[in-house]
Amino acid sequence: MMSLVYKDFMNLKVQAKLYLLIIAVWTVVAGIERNSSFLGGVLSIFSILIAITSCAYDERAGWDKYALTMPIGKRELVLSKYVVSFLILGAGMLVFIGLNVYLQTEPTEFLGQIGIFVALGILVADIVLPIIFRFGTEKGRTFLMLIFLVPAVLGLVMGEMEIPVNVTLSEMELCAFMLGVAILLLPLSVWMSFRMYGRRDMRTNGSKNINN
Amino acid sequence: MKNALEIKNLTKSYSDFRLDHVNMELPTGCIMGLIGENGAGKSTTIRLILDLVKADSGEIRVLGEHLTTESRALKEQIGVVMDECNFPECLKLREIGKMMQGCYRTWNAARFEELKRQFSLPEGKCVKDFSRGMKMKLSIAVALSHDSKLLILDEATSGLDPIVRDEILDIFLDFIQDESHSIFISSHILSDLEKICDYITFLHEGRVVFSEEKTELLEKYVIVRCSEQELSCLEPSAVIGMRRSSFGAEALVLRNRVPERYVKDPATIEDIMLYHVKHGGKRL
Repeated sequence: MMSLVYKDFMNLKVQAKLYLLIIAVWTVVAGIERNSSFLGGVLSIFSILIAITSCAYDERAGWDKYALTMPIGKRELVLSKYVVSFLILGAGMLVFIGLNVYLQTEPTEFLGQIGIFVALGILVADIVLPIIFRFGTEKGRTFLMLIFLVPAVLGLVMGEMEIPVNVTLSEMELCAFMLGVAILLLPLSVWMSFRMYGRRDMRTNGSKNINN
Repeated sequence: MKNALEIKNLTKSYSDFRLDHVNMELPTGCIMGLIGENGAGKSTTIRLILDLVKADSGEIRVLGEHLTTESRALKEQIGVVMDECNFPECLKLREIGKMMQGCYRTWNAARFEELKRQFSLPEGKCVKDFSRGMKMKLSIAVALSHDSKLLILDEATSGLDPIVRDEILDIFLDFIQDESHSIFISSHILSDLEKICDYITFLHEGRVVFSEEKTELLEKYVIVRCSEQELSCLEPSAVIGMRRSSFGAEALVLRNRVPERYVKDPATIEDIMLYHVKHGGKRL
């Protein structure tokens, strides 16, 4: 499986320059603003975006169909995308820690945030990757937008209707709750991805035509 | 092992297409060409062999075993070249070699280096910058750089110029020098298959029209050029297909059913396929 992860990182290296530039800009902005929260959110979402990009590259090349003719199983193909996503998430969090160290923020102040951003990254991967494995990257991106849209709309509606939310959580409690949910959902997500991938149509490189 | 590939009563139905009770046998040490028009079922057959799609019924044995996507040991012995180069586009040769080293236990890095040099593959370029010929050579180099005993090639030579095709055919002939090696190749370029194949299987509308030794096929059929009247004197069952021209008629007929006095020309595989399908061919 590590050879698949290696393949993804090597294939993404051209795009990596652009990603690094975007992260650098956000890091500088966060440094000037002396507020790293938004950067943390950006970095956690980046992890899944990059994993989706690697899936899109694979789809375009018809890689999965070819890879399955090699001594590689479907499970490895699926798991490698989770690994790619989590490795990028980990690297992103190192940037986040680095910035906070530079800003001389007390560790107690940003540790909870790290947990929340890690949980966010894992949660989004938990939801998006099974969808990608079932429907492909185009629809997967649409679902990703919906994932962000639904809580926003829900919050807006609840605000408009003046529905009281009587839940107050400290940062550490929120971190523990989110991490718990993300980690509990992970095996379910992986299982769903295996099932979804198993149903995938390997007839073509992407179009639904039978190319004889 | 007697047969490198055995297919028995293979059936697969889609809403708009049906592969219908396909049977064929590729003896070990031989090359089989799979021919047929677009949509005949060649790529579907190959995907079924590779377990990329599931058959509705029938049996496939590859190197004596049932192949699934999880048959790792068996897949070490199968080299596959698809109609497209399926490596992600930003990879370079060095990276592909390193990745393959991790994928195949039997990966032979020295052999890959040798083939890279033989094919003059550019080291510093990304796959997306390769020409089609280069991409196909890369796929073939990868297929030959592990313990492949059976090569499965889906339109591997289509879209290539005659010089590159000839080079690739030589590589296949070199591969087959080892008697434990076999090749199953689908192609539209019948002249290529005629050069290298020992067996030809012809698929038409999802059904096998024939699956026979090439020499027997070429021996079995001849082209007869004569007047329509002379043609009508032949037994109808001896005529596979015919076409009229301003000079009379031309027909593909069974050699042993044509009297000596008729002018007979050798038939090519292309003639045999075209007369079976296009020029009033009878469905077998």
